[in-house]
Amino acid sequence: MHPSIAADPFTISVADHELADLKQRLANTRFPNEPDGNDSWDYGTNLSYMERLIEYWRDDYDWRAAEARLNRFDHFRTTISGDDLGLPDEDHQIHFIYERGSGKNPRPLILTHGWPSTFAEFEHVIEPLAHPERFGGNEEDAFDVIVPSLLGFGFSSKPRTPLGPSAIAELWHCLMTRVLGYDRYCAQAGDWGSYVTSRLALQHGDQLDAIHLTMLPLRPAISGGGEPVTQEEADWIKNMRGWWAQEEGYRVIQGTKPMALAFAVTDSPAGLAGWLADKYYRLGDTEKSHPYEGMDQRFPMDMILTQLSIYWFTGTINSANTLYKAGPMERTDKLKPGERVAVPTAYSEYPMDVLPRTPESWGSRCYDIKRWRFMEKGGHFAALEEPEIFTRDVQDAFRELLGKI
Amino acid sequence: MSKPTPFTISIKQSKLDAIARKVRDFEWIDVPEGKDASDGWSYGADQTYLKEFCAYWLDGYDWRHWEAQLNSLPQFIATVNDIDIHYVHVKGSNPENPPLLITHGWPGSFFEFFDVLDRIANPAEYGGEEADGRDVIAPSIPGYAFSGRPQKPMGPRAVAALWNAFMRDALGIESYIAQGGDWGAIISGWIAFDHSKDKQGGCLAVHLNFLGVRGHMEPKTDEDQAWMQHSAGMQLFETAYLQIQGTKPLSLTMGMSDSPVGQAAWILEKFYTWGDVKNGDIESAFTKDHLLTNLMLYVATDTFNTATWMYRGVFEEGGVNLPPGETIDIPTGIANFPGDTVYSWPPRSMVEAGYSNIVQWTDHEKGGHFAALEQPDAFVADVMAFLKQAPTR
Repeated sequence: MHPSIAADPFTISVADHELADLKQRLANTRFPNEPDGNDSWDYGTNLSYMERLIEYWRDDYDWRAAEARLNRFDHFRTTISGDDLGLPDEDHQIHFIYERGSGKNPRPLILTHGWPSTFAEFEHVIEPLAHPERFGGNEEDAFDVIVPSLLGFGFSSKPRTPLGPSAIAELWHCLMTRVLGYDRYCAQAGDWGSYVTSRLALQHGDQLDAIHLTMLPLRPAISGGGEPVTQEEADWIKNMRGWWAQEEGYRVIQGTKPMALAFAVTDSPAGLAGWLADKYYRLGDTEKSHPYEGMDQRFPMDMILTQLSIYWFTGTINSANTLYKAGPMERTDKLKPGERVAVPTAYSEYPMDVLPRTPESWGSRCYDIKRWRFMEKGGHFAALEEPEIFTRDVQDAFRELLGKI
Repeated sequence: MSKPTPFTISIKQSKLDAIARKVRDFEWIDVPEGKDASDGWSYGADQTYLKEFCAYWLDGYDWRHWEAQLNSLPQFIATVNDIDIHYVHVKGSNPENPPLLITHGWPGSFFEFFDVLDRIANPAEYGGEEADGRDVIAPSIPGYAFSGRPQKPMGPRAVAALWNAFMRDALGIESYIAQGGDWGAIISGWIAFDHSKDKQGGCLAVHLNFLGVRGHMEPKTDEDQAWMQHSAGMQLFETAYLQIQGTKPLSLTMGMSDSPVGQAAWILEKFYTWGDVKNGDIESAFTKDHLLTNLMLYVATDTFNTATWMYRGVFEEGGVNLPPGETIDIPTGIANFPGDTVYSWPPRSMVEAGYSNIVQWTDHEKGGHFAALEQPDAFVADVMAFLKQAPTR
C-alpha cells in the first residue's frame, strides 16, 4: 500500500457471468469461409489459426490464472480532471501499475503501451526493471515502474470526447507529478505510447530526464526551411509507403469511421480476435512460413488471449480504435519548423515484418538522439516478445543517457 | 453448364432464430460524444439509429413477408464454369427486343431492382408501350446472396466474362444490353469493352449509373480540376471500407460473419453515406423494410465475407482503367443521380476519355448510389429512354 499517493488500490476482478457470456459467444461463433487452399495470412487473419484460437479460448484458456498473475502487482486507479489541465471538462479514471524499485534512489519510469496492446505487454519486464538485483543485475539500475493503461484502453476510462496523444501526455504528466509526486522522471514506449511519450517530451521536457522509444512517431517539417530529404531517407520513405499501402486498411477505417467497425468487434469475440491477431502476426518478429506455428511460437495462445481478454472484458475495443481518429484530429505529429524534442532520446529499432531500417538522420530531425540501436530480434511488441533483451536494452540506455547528464 | 432450374428462397427457421437471438443479445456500446461526433454518423454508424433499427428488426420486420415478395420474382439457378448463378428472369412483352442484363453492386443485391424489373419488362402494364418491353435478367454476383461462392476472390472483369457466357450459353441469348451501378457498372463496363458484338460477344449497348471502368482522365477545365480535387478528398475520408476489403478481408469478416448487428452497422453506413439522404435522416432515402431485406440477403445467406472478395479481385485484376488509348465504343447511356456525393460523375468530357459513344446523358435532380431503390420512377424512365434508342441486333 502507498498511503501517500492520491489513488485508489484496484484489483482486476471479472464477474463470473462475464466469463460465462464470453464462452457462450465463442461457442456460437459463425466463421467466414476462406479462399480455397489459403494457408497464408495474405487475406488477413488466417482462418485455421482463428478456429484453433477460438476453440482454445473457449475450452482451455484460464482467465482466472491470468487475472491472478496480473494482480500480483499493485494496481491503482486515480481520477484526473480534464478541466484542470485545459482539456475538455471530463473526469478520467487512469488505471496504472505501480512497482516501487529496489534500493535507495530508484528513478521513476513510466512505460506506455500502444494499439492493439495493453498494459499487460509489460508484465514480464516490470519486476526486472524495478528489482534488477533479483534478476542478476545491479540494484543501482532500479526504477520505480509505472505502467498505465492508455485512456480508452484496459481499466482506464473511455473518454466521452475522444482525446489524442497530446492530451494524454497532459494526463501522464499529472499522474507522475501531482498524483505520484515526482519532480523528474523518465519515460519509455512504443507504438501509440511513443507518440504520447514524444508529446510528453515536447510539452514537459523540463521535467523529463530521458526517453527511450521503440517507434518514432513524430514527423519533421521538411518544407519551410527544413533540411532536404537525403537519398537514403527518400528510399526509406518510398519503402514505407509501399508497405503501408498493403497494411493500412485497419488504421484508415479506425481513423475515419471507427463506428462502422465497432459494433461487430464489440459483439463478437472472434471478430475482436480476427481484427487484432493479424497485427501481432504481421508486426511481431513472427516466423511466417506456416499458418499458425510461427505465430504460436512467438505469441503463445495464452499470451495473446490475455491481451484479447483485457479488450473483451473491459469493452474497450471501440474506444481504443478511436485513438486513430482522435490522434490525427489533434494534428500534433508533424513538428513545426524549428521544433524538436530536446530531451535526450534513445531509440531501439526491433525488426518488424519486411520493413527497412530507419535512417538515423531521419530520427535526428525530430529528436535529440543520444543512442541508436538496431536490435537483432523481437518485433513491435518487444517487451512481450523478448522481455530479457528489452529489459537489458532499457537499463543500458538509461544508464548511458543519465550518466551523460 | 447446366440447364436453369427454378429457385425459391427459403431461409430455415433455425437460421432466422439464431440471427434474432444475436440481435436481441447485442449489448450497446459506449459511444463518443462531443462536437465531432454530434451528428451520430460522423464516426461511422449512428448507434441511436441502429437501436431503433434493431428494435424494428426484432419486432416489426417480417422476413417471411419479404421472402414471399422476393419469391414473386421468377428466380433460377444456372451453373456456368462451375459457379452457380442465381438470377431473376422476368419475361417481357416483346421478345424481339434484346434482353436487359442488370447487375447490382456492394452492399446492394438483386433486391435493389425489385420495383423496376417488371416495369422494364412489361411497360404496357404501367402506362407504357407493349412494344418497348423485353426480358430482364438480374443475377446475383458470385459470392452474393444465392449465387455460389467463387473458390477464391474474383474480380469484375472475370465476372463480365462469366456473365457473357451465362447469357449466351446458359440462357441462349445472343444479344443483350447491360446495365449497372457500383460493381454492376464496373462489370457492365468490362462487358461493353471485352464482350461487345465486334469482339464476338453479345453486348449491344451499356447503361451506367456509376463511373467504373474509365479511360485516362486528364483534367483540362476548372470544372475538371474541381472534380479531381473533390475525388481526392473523398479518397482520404471515404475509402477505408475499400482498403480493408481489398487487402485483408478476413481480418474484417471474422467479426462481421459472427455479428448481424455488426453487418448492419457496416452496411447501413454505406447506405447513409451514398444514398440521397437529407437532414441526416437515412429514412429520407430508404425504408427500414428495404434496408432490412437487402441486409438479410447478406446475413441470412452468410455471404458478407465472399461479397467483399470483389475488392480483392479488382486489385488482383489490375483495377478499372482501360488499356491506354482504348475506349468503349458501343452506345452508352449515363444516368447521373446526384445524391451520391462520394462517387459523383466527373464532367462529361472526362467520362468521354473512356466512352466514345455516349448517346444519352441525364442529370437527375434526386436519387443516389442505389438509384433503382431510391428513385424507381426516374430510374425506369431513364433506362427505357435509353433502350428505345439502343441497337436491337
